[in-house]
Amino acid sequence: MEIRMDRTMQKALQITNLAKEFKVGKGVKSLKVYENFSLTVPEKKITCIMGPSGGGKTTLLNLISGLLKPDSGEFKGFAGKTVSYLFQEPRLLPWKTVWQNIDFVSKDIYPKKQRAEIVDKYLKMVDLYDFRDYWPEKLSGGMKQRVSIARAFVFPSDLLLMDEPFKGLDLQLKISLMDSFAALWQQDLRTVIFVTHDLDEALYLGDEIYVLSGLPARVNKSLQVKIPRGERRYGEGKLKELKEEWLADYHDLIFPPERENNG
Amino acid sequence: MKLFTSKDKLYTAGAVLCLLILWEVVSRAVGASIILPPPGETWQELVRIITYENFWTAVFNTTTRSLIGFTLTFLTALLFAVLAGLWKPLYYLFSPLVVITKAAPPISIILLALIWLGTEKAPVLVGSLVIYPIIYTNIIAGVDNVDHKLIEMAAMYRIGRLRKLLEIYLPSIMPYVLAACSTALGLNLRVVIMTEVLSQPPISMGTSLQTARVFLNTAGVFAWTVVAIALAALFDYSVSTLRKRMEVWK
Repeated sequence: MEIRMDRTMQKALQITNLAKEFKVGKGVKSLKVYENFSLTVPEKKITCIMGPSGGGKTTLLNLISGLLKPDSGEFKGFAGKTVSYLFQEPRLLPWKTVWQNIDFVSKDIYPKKQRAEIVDKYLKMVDLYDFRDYWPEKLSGGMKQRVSIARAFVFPSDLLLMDEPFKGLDLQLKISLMDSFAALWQQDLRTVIFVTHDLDEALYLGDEIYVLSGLPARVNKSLQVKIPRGERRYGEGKLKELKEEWLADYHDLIFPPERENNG
Repeated sequence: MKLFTSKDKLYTAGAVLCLLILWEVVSRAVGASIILPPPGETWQELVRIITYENFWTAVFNTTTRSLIGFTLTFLTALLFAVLAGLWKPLYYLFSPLVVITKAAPPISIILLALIWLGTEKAPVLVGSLVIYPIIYTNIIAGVDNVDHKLIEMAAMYRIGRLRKLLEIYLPSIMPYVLAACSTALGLNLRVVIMTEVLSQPPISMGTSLQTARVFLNTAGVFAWTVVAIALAALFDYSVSTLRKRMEVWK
């Protein structure tokens, strides 16, 4: 008998009724970034969060990781989950070598011998084994970001949060980094929440794409990419068709017209 | 990156030569070696004091005093500054003390140290009190400037407090610590010698300076000054070597 996996049956993490506001000035009303916000994050999938800058994307990651405390709301399934974080900047320790930087997050977790094996393995996977004894300062921006990707995977996390880690890189480098990332991820499926403002990036890596808009933010559109990863080519072919189809139907939802913020 | 090129060295040598010529010219114009001895006479005096039997004992005593004071002060300042940097109430508790030691005239400290301690220990205390605020405030600035993004990253990867302290805070404040050391080490030596001039411990560089002055041996004062400068240069060289070693990653 064929068993159909319905989307609602899939294991998922659930955010419900999230609220968060910030004081933004003296005598100004607090800015409500989230109010009655709910989101479902399927496990072991890559969920992309798209939206305009200043639209609360980073805030959402910080709330999920615990760097920020929500005013109210429920995080179902998140308790006890360990988190890795890929930041916009690599955030490497300049006084540690590439190898030591990755080892930094595994020191308290694995015994010494196993640690060395794991760090070596991931360094090879991101093509940086020959650079293991380099100081981060001596690496290019893309290489540094690859170190931070390896570090995120060496840390045995359940959840991987990514805050535009491919932003500001040239196209070729961006694709090669995303490929490194995808290769690591396919060997070691983790629940990924990937914040980006770039539809091509979301299409290339994502399973589920949520488009946020407005403040307080809400999910404006939820889209799914069902093309197998092996058949995806960045910005081309099927992805390009899908992008054009979506933009024809929902252009204003994905790229909402700029609002004048007059209060 | 090399700090000095050979061209820089050449210019420095030229500047020193100019200074020596100026010294010779002015001293001939003055015509009284009791007021300004010429370089040649100072050199002869320098050779004389180096061969004098108590020379090395004097240098040793002053260096020891200077280094003991520096080490104790450095460790105390490091401990207090890190604690104060991490825990605000302690910072406020220490701040009036720092302001007082910074603002008090060194001569008041010297007089009090002479009243409280013997002639041999007074220079150590005075040097310590003068350099403590420098080291302390530098390290506090270092703690304040620790990159909070790295701390955030470490928190994300659940790095413990002790490891954060040893692997992020300490390496980040190291440049500040070393900068403070290079200022404090030389200053401490000068203050120790100054206090020795007033407190007169048995054999020391300060005492020798004072003795030369009492016998109107101005060339002797100059010669001991040269020794003090050489010692300060040696200290400075040690710190900058250490600095290069510790900041290989830059």
